[in-house]
Amino acid sequence: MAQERNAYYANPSSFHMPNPSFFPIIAAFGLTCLAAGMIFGYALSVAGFIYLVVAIGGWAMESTS
Amino acid sequence: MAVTLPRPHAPAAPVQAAPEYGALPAYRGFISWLTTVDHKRIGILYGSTAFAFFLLGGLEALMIRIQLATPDGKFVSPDAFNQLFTMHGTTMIFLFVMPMSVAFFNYIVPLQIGAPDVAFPRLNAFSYWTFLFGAIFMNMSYFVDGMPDGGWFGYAPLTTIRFSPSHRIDFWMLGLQILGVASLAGAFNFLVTIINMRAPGMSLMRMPVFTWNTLITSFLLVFAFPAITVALILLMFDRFFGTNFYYAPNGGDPLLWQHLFWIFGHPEVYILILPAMGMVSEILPVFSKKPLFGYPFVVYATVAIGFIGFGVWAHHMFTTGLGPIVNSFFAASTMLIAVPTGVKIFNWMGTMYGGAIRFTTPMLFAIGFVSMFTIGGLTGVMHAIVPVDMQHQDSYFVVAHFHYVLFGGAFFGIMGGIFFWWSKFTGKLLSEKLGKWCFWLVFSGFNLTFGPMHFLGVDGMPRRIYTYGENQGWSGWFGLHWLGWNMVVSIGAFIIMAGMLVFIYAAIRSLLGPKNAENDPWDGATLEWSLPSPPPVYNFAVPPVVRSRDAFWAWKRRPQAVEAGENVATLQVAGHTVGHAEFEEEHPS
Repeated sequence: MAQERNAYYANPSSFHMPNPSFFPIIAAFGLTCLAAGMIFGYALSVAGFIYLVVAIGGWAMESTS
Repeated sequence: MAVTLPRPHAPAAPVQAAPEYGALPAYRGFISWLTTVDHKRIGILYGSTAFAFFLLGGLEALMIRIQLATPDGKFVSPDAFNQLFTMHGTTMIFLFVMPMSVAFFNYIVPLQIGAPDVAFPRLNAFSYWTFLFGAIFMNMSYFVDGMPDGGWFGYAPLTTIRFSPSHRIDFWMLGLQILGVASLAGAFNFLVTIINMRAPGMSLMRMPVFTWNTLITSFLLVFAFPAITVALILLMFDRFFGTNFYYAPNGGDPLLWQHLFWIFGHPEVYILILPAMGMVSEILPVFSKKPLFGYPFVVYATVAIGFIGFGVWAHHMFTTGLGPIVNSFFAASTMLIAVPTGVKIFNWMGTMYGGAIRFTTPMLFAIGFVSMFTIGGLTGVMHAIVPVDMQHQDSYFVVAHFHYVLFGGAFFGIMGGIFFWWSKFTGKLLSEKLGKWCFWLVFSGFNLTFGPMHFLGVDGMPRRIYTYGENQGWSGWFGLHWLGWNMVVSIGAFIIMAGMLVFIYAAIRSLLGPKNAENDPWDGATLEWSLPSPPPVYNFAVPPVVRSRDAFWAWKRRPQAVEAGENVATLQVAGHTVGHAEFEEEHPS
């Protein structure tokens, strides 16, 4: 384990950092629409729910590498 | 041997060789900010958004003070006044102090514990965007029905549909729910990050105090937010679906809201102040050139505040008639929580005592924090005495008290943190001269604003009062109807504004200027100062191994470095210059 870690840090260009992702902002937007629908009409809540589900699904299946 | 760390200025360090974004796809410009999961960029997003809301909340405060400067003020309507004080409180608490603290958690904590990022980077991004959308949603109310107007603690039954039929409270209630999701996502993230991702050797009792405060604040968030979530969901049912949880004639109980709100609300006070305490606990040792005095006591006091903070909520409700037994319990617990808070104040003073103090801008703000927060704490513990509380309830005395805690405390701590870590965030220096102008203007304006509120409060001026008459005793000095403490308070508010304009000018000048900051301009004690400013995306090219507290200090003062004259800086302990051996005694490996 320690050897692996040392080898990993010996070559910084191999650092794996998490990928950028659009899904967090989509999920946050969906959540806000879900709540806003309570005021602006339930159609907005439904749209927000769909956004949220799509975002969570995409988030779960998104490649992290 | 104390610590093994990458050398800060080593020319061949792998830091230089690595691509800036490692294996990340190359989104550029605006899109890169929308999709970022880098804790440092999310910290910058959090911080800049929170500062924008600070300006909005400050503008609301100035409008309140123009209205109240003279008797019979008519600057705004009574309805607008209700909206202003509600959104001033809500904005400053939920949209400025909390997210600004989270900005520091994001940027600083992974660097202090030697981690490459937070545990859940995408959840971190989700937390920020949820906060932003929730904040925008809440403020959208202005364009629909006017701003929320039920006060920042939204007491039922005022906030129920019978007494607040417009959508204003709906925006407030749903907006707070969304912000709660953002806070919880952030809190879980930091809990896991701090518990799981500390550098090898960084035991809990070697953790920097700011990280400790982040940990305790995150626990407080996780345990406090469910209470307000329940309260808000019940209110939502009352408002949208005709239930009667808070409507007494139909069997509901308005006091239920007060209990649920303050079970959240009092730990919330500590959620606001603990991060600032953490920042001050980092600043004071660096500018006193001494390790934090009584580190374990500071840590245990923080933990104690975290626990006791959940047992004091009903001191906000003494006037509701809870009975002598309940009142006695909460009076005692409120006195009790002053003990760990007092312990910290003595620790901060002990840190400065005998130190080689440098009066830099961050240090001035930190000292301002300790002194002003002490005043706020003393007026707070006064209200543990039930009869005193009953006299001061809903008076300007209470307004003065909590502004000494939250402005003199949390805000001064945050400003100290901004000046302290600015060079780490940006790679650029903030002008010390302008910083000191900013401090002295804000400090004097603050005392001019909130000091006289104590006098107005004991003279009977109620909080949230729209206006007052000439003959009520709150104005009329020298026979001039407009001159009195209220005018002084309003002038103070504009002096604070002037101080903040100086800060904004200094910040813009710094951001437009060259990258001129060293990696470690203050002789910092913790690991973030071992990194370039700003740090590369992966933070540490080599994982730091920690064998003591104040790990970067220990590394800079290791025997080889001292012998080679690499770093001639020495620590001052109780007035004596000490070398590495004494430092090790203070910080056993």
